[in-house]
Amino acid sequence: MLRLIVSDLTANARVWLGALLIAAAAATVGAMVASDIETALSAGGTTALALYGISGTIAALTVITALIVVGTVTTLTVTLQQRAYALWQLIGLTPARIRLIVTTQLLAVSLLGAVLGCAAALPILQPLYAYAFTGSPDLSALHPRFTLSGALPVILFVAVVITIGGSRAAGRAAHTPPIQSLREASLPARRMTPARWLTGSLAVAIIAAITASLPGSTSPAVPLTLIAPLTAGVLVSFGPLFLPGFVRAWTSVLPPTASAAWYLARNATATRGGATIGPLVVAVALAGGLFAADGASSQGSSTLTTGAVVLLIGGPLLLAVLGSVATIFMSSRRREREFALLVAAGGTPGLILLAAASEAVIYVGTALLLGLFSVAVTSVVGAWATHAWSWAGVMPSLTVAVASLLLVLTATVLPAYAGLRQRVTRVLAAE
Amino acid sequence: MPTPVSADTIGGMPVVEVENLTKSFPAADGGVVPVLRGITLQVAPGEFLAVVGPSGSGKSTLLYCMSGLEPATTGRVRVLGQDVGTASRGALAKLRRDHVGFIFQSYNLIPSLTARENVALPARLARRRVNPDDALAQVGLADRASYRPAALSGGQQQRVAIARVLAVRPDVVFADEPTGALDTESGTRVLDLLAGVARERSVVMVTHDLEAAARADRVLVLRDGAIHRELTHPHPDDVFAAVAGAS
Repeated sequence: MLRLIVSDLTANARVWLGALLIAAAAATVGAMVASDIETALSAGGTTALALYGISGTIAALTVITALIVVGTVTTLTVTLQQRAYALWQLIGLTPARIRLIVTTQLLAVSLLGAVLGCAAALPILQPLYAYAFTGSPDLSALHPRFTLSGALPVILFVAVVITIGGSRAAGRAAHTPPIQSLREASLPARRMTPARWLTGSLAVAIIAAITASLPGSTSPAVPLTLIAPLTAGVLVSFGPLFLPGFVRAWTSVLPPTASAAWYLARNATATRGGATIGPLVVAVALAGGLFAADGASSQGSSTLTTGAVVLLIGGPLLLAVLGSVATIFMSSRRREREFALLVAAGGTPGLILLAAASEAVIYVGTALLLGLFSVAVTSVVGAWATHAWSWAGVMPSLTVAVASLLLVLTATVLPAYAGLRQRVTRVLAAE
Repeated sequence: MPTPVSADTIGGMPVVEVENLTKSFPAADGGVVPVLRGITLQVAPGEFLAVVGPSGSGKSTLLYCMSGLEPATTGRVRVLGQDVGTASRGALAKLRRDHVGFIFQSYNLIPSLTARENVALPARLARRRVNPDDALAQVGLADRASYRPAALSGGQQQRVAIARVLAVRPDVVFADEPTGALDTESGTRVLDLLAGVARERSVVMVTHDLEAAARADRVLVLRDGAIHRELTHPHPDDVFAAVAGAS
């Protein structure tokens, strides 16, 4: 079995590297939270109180983001390999054995990624403290602590989220009839599962509870900050119900006859874009939500510094954008096949690059619209609670969308360009 | 560079001309593996040509070189008068879009598009108007137009691939093992459709199915990358005998 685990990890390196990257990124962000808490414990006094407050907010934002992004990437990791699991079934492996193999792979990759992520955090912590707490001499002079006892819970959290999330998907994949998996050329459509209903409903309940607690609150900024990412969580959870229709609806601004590239990108994104769009929605909501909450609670006298923004949402934001890019990287083999078919059908290199670029625009455009909705929910709730309407979330949302577009464009266009240099006949050969 | 012309307008001029074609691939030990060795052939307008031979004889490589998907190592390939070895990427794309159709063993439909959208795709790339529903009706799939490939059987997907060719009416169709993944009944249906296509345009089909090959106007038997036998309007037994002799 060990040989099968290792050979499969090697054969599907592109997919597993994406999962490893996300495990590492989640651990790096988690390490920052753990370091805040450890440093607070050792500092004591008012410094500790300040750090506890900050680390609580970061932890909440990180957990929401990690659950969405890591869950999405992990499920994709398993779904992309459904064909391999079907072949395993055909050679006599039982669904239980397949699930065990996949769970072992997930555990190994998540542990390795989490350890690497914690190690990567070590040289970042001191400069981050110095930069984030520039306005506070006491805090910026602190020497951040991050020991093994702080790292262990982070490693455990990352490993548990990835392994449990993937194991459920592996269970479903292992029980899918092999012939069905082998026949399906595309990824199975994302469906509403009990876990999605539960997560979405839970997020709605938390938003309602936060909203109910706001009137009369002396410090509404922190709970308000959580509303946008939680709303993003609701949208991602219920995505299979509305996302394909939503993408088709807004992308119809360009008629199908106007551009073949847009037409192709639109269909591809509506069908398989959920995994990439979800983390981007979270990224937009994090940035916009933070500023919208600050705008509503500070009533025009914002106290947010650049350092504070980096400290509060820098990690989760990075995780969300990396998660989105990772999903594109992981599924690029399927995209290569489609592009090869377009070449055979007479598509020019320009059309293929334009289709890849259009796909990036549609991913980010959809995420921006849904992210802005999440920010608007924050603004409405903030206005209701504080009687102050704020547009402060719009510009940060747009800024994150533009920055994400650059990264997502790179992730879609570069592989398309590299794919044009491959032999079409090899890509299109019968699998 | 000559401009491609429709086979309808060129009378007896070959649709595909292959002269002294060789093709080699790099080997793991740093050497080269010769796959095609000096092949010369022509495909006439409206001809149905089948290429058969043992595994590894170079059938699929010949098809890919003839269609310009794979560059020749030496020699020349012309499709509708255009040298595919010297044509730019853009010119090759235009040639494929306007004059060439492909049918692959693994169907190669775009999974995110419906059957109707897959059929209309090449025409959309060429900015031409076609009626995909007519083409789907011709292959007996009018009632499956809004289905995505995952919801269709293998035989139905291959019929969609043929409808895609029918819709754009190319001058030459290259088919690589079009019945290779199908059961007998679906395979026969696909062959009937291909034979119908060949009444109006040229078809070059690579196949392991010797009975299918016997339905062609001409059969080339390859052995070790070279033409071993050539049969015209053969009886299936002649094809069996020729391939047995090549093995």
